[in-house]
Amino acid sequence: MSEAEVGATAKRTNIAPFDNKEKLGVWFFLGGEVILFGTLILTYSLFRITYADQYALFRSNLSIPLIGANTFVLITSSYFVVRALQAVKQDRLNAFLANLLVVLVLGSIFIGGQAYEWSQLFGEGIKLDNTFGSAFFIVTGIHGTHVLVGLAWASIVLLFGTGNAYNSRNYRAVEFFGLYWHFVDIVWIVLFSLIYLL
Amino acid sequence: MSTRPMEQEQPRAVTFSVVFGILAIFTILEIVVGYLATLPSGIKIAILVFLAVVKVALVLLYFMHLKFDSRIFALPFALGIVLAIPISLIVTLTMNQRPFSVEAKAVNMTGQVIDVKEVSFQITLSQYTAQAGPVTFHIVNGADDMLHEFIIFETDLPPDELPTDMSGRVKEDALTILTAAEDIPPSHSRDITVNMGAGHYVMICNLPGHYEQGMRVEFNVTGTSNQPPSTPEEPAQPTEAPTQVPGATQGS
Repeated sequence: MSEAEVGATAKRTNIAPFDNKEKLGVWFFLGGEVILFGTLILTYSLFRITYADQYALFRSNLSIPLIGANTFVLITSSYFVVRALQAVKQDRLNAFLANLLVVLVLGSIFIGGQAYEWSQLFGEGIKLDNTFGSAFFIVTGIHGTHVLVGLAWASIVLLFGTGNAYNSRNYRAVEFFGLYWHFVDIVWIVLFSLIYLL
Repeated sequence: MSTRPMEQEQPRAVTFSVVFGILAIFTILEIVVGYLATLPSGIKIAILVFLAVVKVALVLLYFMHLKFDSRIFALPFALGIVLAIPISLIVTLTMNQRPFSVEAKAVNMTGQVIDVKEVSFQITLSQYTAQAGPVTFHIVNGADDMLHEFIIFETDLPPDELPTDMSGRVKEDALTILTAAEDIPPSHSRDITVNMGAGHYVMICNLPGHYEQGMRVEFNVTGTSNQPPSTPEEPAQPTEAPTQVPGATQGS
């Protein structure tokens, strides 16, 4: 690759943020997701304020230690996404792949924890026909689906990564996956407080 | 020549590690605060909201690079939050509400009418005394997803000292039941008219766990009635008039 070509590539991939239409597009996509989760979260909040006594009864079925650990797992996975992005920006490709693999493992653990929680709740008779049961399963289910989508996305990035598709001049795909994953993390931070702690 | 705002200062690896450390510590703090039952609820909510907001801000600013990127990227995010507020209000306001102030009254109520509201787990009466004679109890199950019942015992025992079995349910056989309205569906009402003599009564919901959790209340009847009071052997015919609370879903 000639010096001019390298320069052109650098200009394309390391452009100013304001000029990065692709990245702005990702943020607009996340804005749409904010509307979805924002509506769910605010509606859930108003609902539990209205039926506070019944919510208190429902919440007694939830396990804070289990989901607290799960929250820690998801936050840690976000940190490893940051590490993966840093690694690819520095052309440390093995470190990039290793960190992304950790993200996949941690995300899977999170999903496993949520599946275990759901099975426990089903065992206690809390199902979709219960008012707060339905709200709980819808909100956490939609979030869990986003985590699953994130895991599929991470797997694709990992697959391309093993084929040396990314490097310090071409890391946008990793960055965009990271933005999505961090957003899913943010949603969980709010849900954890709203559903389990407050 | 104009200079374009490139991705300005790049954070060092240690910055991300510090942010992760703060997120981890805050998560532990949240769990601890969540468990502190002695903490006043206002303070608890304030602390938990503060911790969550800081965590969200840290992820946005550092992990999602908003601190180092153009501020314009934050615009769609903020717009999403602004749009979510009216949408959630519309959803909430159009949801099925169950106002208790507009309850339908049964047509065959006689004598004194006492409004009874049952929620999980409390029984509230419009008045706790009555004159001897026919009394109609207009019972509303205000719970959203739980059956309740309404049993009237004629007893001298205080409401929290009724004999219970191993499961915590009141031993109905050991007491004198005046009348009962069983299994009132959520958001439904039922009317019971019973002839009550002077005395002390306790009213409860005896579904598993409900009595123990506070669904019990005492009721006193004074004076004398022209009609003899009901007895367990010959109970006054309770006129049950199942009515549905306006706005409630059929068959709920």
